[in-house]
Amino acid sequence: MFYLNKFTACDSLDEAYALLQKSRKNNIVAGCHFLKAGHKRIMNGISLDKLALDQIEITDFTIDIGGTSTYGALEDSPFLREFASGVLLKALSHIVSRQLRNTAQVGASVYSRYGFSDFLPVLLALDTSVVLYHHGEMVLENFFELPASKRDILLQIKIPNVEQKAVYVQHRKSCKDIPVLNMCFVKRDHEVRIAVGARPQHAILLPKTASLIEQQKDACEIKEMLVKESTLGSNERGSRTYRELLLPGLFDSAREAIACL
Amino acid sequence: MFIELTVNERKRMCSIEPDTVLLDALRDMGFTSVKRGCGTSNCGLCTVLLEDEPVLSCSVLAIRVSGKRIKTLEGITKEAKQFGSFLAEQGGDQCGFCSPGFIMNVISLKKKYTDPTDEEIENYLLGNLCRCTGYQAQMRAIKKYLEC
Repeated sequence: MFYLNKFTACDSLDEAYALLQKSRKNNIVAGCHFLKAGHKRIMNGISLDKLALDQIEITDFTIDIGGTSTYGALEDSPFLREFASGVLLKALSHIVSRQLRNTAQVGASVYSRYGFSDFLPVLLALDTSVVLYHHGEMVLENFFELPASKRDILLQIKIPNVEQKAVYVQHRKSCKDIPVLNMCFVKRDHEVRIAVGARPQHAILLPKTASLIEQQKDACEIKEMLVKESTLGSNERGSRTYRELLLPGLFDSAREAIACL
Repeated sequence: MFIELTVNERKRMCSIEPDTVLLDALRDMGFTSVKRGCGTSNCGLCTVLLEDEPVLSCSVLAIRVSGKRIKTLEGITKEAKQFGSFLAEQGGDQCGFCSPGFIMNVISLKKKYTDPTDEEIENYLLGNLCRCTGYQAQMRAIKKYLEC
């Protein structure tokens, strides 16, 4: 359990940002599920609850999801149930329980760049951008390059609202565990985007592999590039070798599934 | 510090620390149907309804729910008794420790879905662990309850 000396429900983003910059011991508190797993001592817990960042807006061009929107709210959106073959909700359905998803917040999951995230590979493959209070809007790949020391507030994520097919595949040791490896495969006309997550580091895009698929190269060549480009590692869920063996299998499942859509 | 919580449609004042979780606040106020289980957001024993949505009270800071509506099993005794009778009839209730959280989530399921499929029921209740029954008897009880 984490320790919280003080709790501040901020009335403005300026106030929240100023508090965040004031001390590294001040932290934004969101769903608290990951925080609870540790013993972090937080001087001032900053809450964004009053700032109405929990809106989900669907325009002709983007799907704008506020940083404090919960996974539960996404699941209740009829539009997201259908969007991109329902891939967002399929990925979310693996996360522990409905009760947890009702409080787990999108912004916290994205900003913390959790390696085990089911959500991040999907967002990456869907070409999502993040809107930060201080650093402005940037695509998710660029956000991952931003040093963790640059403390900011995630206001919104923006997913391009375009016609596309998408598949999410994952492997986990038991149904409510965190994934050993996961992958999202997106197809827009002839363009392919693949993201792999739980490597165990945060999710990455695989542009070279996608390019080989677009060029309809040989399956062995594609899989060789897939494993090379994914830069897999080891953790308590599985070794690098185990992941390297799993990855081509997941990839085949994703390709077969997307062909059937 | 003191906060005001609306539990089972009654306003109550509660003394808490900034990191007190809702589970502790509710149990301190005497709502002992809310059980402490794993403490790691996995078992679903501590499920309560926050603004009619099921949440894990072990993971929600009490200070954040100040002014919001909370429902525990004590506030829905009629529905709980009704579903409890189906559970008992089908042999879906053994040690009973998981029942309060389970009942809260089933009641939420009934409000959310008019005619849920087996898959929808299973997915919705995935976060309620039971170490006695093996879930089949509970599934039968839920189906009977949803029919009535």
